[in-house]
Amino acid sequence: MSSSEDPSDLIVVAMPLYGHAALAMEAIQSVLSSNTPNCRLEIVVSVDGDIRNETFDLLLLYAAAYPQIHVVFGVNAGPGGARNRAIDFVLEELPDARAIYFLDADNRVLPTTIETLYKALVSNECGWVYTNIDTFSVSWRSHYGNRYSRLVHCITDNICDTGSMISMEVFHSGVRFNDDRQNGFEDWEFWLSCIEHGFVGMPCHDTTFEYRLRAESRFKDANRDRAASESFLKKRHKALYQRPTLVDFEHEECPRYMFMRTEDGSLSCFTDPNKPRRTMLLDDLIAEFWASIGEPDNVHFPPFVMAGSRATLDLLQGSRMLPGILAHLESLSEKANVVFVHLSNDRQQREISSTLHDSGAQNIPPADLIFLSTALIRDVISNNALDWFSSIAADQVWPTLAVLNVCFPYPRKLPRRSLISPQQVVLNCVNAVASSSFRQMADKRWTWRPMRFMPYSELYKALRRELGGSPVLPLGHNQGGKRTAALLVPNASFGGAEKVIYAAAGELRAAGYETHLFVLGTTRMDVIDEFEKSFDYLHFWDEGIPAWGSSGLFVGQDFISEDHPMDWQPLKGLLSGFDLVVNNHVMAVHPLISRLRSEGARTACYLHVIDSTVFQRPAGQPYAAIAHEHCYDAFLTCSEQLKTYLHSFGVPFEKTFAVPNCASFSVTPALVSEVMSQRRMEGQDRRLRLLYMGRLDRQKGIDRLSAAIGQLRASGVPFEAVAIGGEILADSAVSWSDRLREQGVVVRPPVFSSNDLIKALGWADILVMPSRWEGAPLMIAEAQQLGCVPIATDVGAVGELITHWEDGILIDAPTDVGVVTELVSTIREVANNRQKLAPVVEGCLRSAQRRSWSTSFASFIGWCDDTVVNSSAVRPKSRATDETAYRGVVAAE
Amino acid sequence: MSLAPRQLPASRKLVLASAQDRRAIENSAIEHLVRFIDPGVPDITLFRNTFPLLAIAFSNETEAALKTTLASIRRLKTIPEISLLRLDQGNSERDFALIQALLSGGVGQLASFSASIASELTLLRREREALLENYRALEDAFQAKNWEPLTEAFAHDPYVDPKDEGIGQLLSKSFIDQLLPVSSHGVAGIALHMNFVPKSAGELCVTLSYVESDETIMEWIVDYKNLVAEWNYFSLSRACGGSAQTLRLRVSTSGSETIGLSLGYPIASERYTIRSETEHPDLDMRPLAFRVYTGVPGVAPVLTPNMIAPTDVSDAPRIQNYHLPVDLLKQTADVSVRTVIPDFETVNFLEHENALMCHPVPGGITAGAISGALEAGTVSVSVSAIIDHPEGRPAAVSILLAPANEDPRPRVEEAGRSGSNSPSSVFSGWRKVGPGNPVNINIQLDEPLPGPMNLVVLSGAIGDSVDFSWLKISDFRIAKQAVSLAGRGKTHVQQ
Repeated sequence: MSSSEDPSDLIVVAMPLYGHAALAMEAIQSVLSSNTPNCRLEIVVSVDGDIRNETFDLLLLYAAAYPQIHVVFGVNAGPGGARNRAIDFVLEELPDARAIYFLDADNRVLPTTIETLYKALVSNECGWVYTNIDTFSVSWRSHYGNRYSRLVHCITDNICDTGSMISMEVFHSGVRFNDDRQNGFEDWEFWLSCIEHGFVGMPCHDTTFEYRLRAESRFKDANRDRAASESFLKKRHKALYQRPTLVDFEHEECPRYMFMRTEDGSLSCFTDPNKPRRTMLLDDLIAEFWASIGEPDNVHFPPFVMAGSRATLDLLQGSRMLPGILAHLESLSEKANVVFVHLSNDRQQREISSTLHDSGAQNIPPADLIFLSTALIRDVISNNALDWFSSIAADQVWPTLAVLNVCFPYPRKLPRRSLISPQQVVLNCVNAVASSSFRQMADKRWTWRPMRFMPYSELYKALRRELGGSPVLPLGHNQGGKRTAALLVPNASFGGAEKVIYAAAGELRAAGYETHLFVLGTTRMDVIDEFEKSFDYLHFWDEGIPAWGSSGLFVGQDFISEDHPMDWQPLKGLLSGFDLVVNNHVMAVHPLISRLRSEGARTACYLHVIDSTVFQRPAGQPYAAIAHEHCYDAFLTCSEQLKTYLHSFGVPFEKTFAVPNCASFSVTPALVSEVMSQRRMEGQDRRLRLLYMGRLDRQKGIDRLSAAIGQLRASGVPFEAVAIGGEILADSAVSWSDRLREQGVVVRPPVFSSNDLIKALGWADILVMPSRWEGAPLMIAEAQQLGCVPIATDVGAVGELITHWEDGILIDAPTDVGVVTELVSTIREVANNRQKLAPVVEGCLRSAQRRSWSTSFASFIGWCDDTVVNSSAVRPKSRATDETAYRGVVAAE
Repeated sequence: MSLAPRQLPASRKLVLASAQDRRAIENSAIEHLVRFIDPGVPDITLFRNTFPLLAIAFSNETEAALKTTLASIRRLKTIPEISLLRLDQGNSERDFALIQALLSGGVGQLASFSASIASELTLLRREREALLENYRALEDAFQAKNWEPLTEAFAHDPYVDPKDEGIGQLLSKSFIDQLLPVSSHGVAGIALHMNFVPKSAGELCVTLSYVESDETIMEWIVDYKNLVAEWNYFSLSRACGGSAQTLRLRVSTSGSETIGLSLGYPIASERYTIRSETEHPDLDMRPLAFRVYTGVPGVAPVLTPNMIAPTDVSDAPRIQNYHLPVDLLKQTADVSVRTVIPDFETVNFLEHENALMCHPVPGGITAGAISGALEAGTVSVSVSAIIDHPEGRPAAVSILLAPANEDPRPRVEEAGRSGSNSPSSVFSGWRKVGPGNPVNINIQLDEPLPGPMNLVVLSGAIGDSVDFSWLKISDFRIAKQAVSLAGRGKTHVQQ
């Protein structure tokens, strides 16, 4: 409603009628007795195929006596259909109507109901106004809250009866009742449609209506089948029930966190740290704290409190890890009374680790941020335990304590640190609350109607239940209206599989997606400069996530089933609500994918390699993925070969994108030119340079390399060799590093930076890869782009990256002996005749020029653009972004 | 909005006809009543403001089409069977006139009459609901013997903030609203606290109303001289009944001096703090100091004797219901009449129980007299008695009223002699009492006492033994009729 109340404003009372022939008279008469000096009133009775002729007689007489009573007779369509017919009548026949009040034919209004509600509708400029419910016949009453919350309305119960005053703007925007008879809650469904269209309600306790309650009712029937009815609602209003939408509601209506800033003691509340925060004064905090105890269904107080400096919050915000850290803090606050957060600068890695301390912990380093639950503060105050609690600022801390250490690369310029500790700020606030005069009356409820809502401060738990996950990632829709993509990896080191997913994220981000990396199974990641900008957010979770599991077998291969004894809650809470989920070898996530998909996510599974056991049984991630094939909308493979292999297990070709791997780092043409001129300058007189890069283990064929080196040395072939890598898996009794050194090979530890990789590959003439099995190693493309010729066993998709003697050399032999023999002969051949290598070097450079991640991912990105729904685009209009500014909301500092 | 019944509105259609017959009906007396059906419409699924009582046709073709239409109307279920009338084209003026007279006039007239009946019937139904609910409430109270006259439903005590300036000026210029945090159901009175009351002329105006229906329930306009410092009880003439609603108290004053209406402790529930159109620092998060009582109207709470009747019923008699003060009980004198003096105290005050012990003895009546216990205006007295020992022998117990300034022993002796179980206006009659089963003894007076009287409690032995007959008498409740203190008002609370 945007205009002021006008005496000529027309209000229509719409009354669906079925089965209440003997009661409708009271409903009509109560409307006729309305005292509405400031508006006009008309009644539209929508008869829903009522089988009683008595209804006809009654309405004939009323319509004959009162011109302001209109009657629509229609075939039975249920209450929703009948109301819709009334709405259509109003739109067509009474176009100047300003609002509709729905009155069921067995209920009654008070003489002031209509006028009071219309005044409230006009003054609040909202979509609808509703009242408390007081019933008669069977006496029952309930308080429906002093404020309206979309979150409460969506995830707890229907908090507005249809007996509400609804602005015509709602109906002009196209909102109607759903007349599907499976829908037991057509009224609740209607309000959800209103919310979707950007409307909100407002309670009005200055009037009520008379709700006739009998021992049995249609509402009771619907409640008996509540689960089915709720399921119907959630399917029909999927967009409302997605995590970002619900978190946005939470952020605006009942924020989860309160942040106390150390520099100036300022207070702000939020759920999504990226959204404008509601600031509040200490005075308001005290009032809201106590009001939330006495009237928990009317007043919200954030369930978690944190304190720290602005610099700390800015640092965490800049780290892109803040939402995930908040989830960790929620989880830790359930294990310890208070959580201290320590931040540290590390340019090489990001890591989150936590430790728990019993009561009486000492020598705890100063906290950059502290986090605790409001429930603890309530207990401290009610038990007069302020002295105990004050020890959080002392040398010995008596509350139990969790310490969360967070390291990440800091920005170059850091703001000044606060001189006041976070503990002191919290203690000041808690002391102020405890000594408030409100405490005297805290236990007395003043609202006399019984409480119906759950306490606002418990809503975060209801949100967890709704999403089936805990904690819930505190992120709403992004402000740029971007689609969101979650890319999941089991670890985040320098492996090829991770680099590929980073590259995929980079391409998605370039295509306009907000990208989230989820490292699930470890809480650290190495910093790789090349992919630093691939992600908007980085999240870590390792607790309770197995890297592998065997709760089920699929064609003899392990997979983790839904029955697996693990805590699914954190995974679901973190992963719910993304538009696209790309699972990259996180086995534990497969059973969740179906649920994520049913919530609206498009799902993809990225597979890189088929592993092999010591008995050469094919094994690895692809099989667990194929076991969950129907949950995934798409598969990505590193090769055509793997795509075909998946097809042989029933994965359709159209569903699979073979994405050729590229180099994990880029090189400029100038750099390539420099490397090539260096090679040319050194001429062909020097000894051939061999390079091995990778893990020193069986899969990579380190034993084959050693054997080949031995034979080459024995046969006097002139070469020098460098091996870069570590014995990470240590699957052998011998030390391959020592063995190689004994063979005259220079062994160096693994290198990860692009500069080191360029240096190594720029030095070598040949990259030797005698692997037993591979996917499509990135190293081949990386070598090729610097003119280093790969000589590799033709396993996995290596053959798709190398054309024999054009841009590399393939070794194809069935046995280890054969591989070693062929490797030795090939190296000998090129060492003795360097001219043979020259055209292959040129071929490498040509192949490298053709490759790019953009080209590789183009088809997949195109598919995403066509099929991934942008939930951000269909989200309900946010009140906070309206020009009618949400009271108390200011821009984030 | 005027909702008086009118003539049959023009938009109401009562007759169905085929659109093909439009020409035959146009400009006729019934044209405004006819809804024309297009011949191409096979099914009628919706009627708007159409109440078909009759269908007319002028040809075989339109008659057949209408029959199909009428069959489809059955799907609407609600509409009764419709008669189809065949008329002659060009020769139907008289038929039209007849139809018009019957439908337009008849239905209009009937509708007008039925509207007034319906209105009356609705009121009757509503009254019946209230009667049934009240009947049941009375029956429940009767069955439960729940005769407690007044219950404190909510109390919020006065609180003095050193910085308070007082809201007297505000009340004299404007008004304040206080929502009450209880359901209206059964509310019989509200007590307000005054930290001081001026002696000069002035009036306090208090209005109680329902929030949801915006109805005024009761109003009190009280001279300052009829108010006392501390609690003043504003009694309703009848307890709030019907549906439970929220109550709003509106308070203002008139006169040259301001009154010290007390505020309560601050609360965090903003909706229940005082609202005023004028800002005042004292009102920040503060409600009034008040108490709300449910129960019998016209009965003042024990500790709030200054009862104020509503303005329109201030002459009605008021009943004060109170417990006998402990100080009086402490002064109870032993006025027993007996032949043997026992070696223990038979009448004494039980300090921690606010009760009297009145141990019977064989061969006499044990009696305790409470001097000046009953004031003028007393209409009833009741006490509760029990043998306060599990093995105590039963005894007889009674109370009697004795004139003040007179030795009560002769009356005690007489009561002992009579052994009567029949109550009189000054004697309750003897009741047998044993352990574990308390009895109530009361005296209802036909007329209020004209002057003060003494109250005497009596006990006597039943049988030979009085072993452990520790008769305890407690819960001394007095009902007294008082003269109204409230003045008659003449102005309403300022708006």
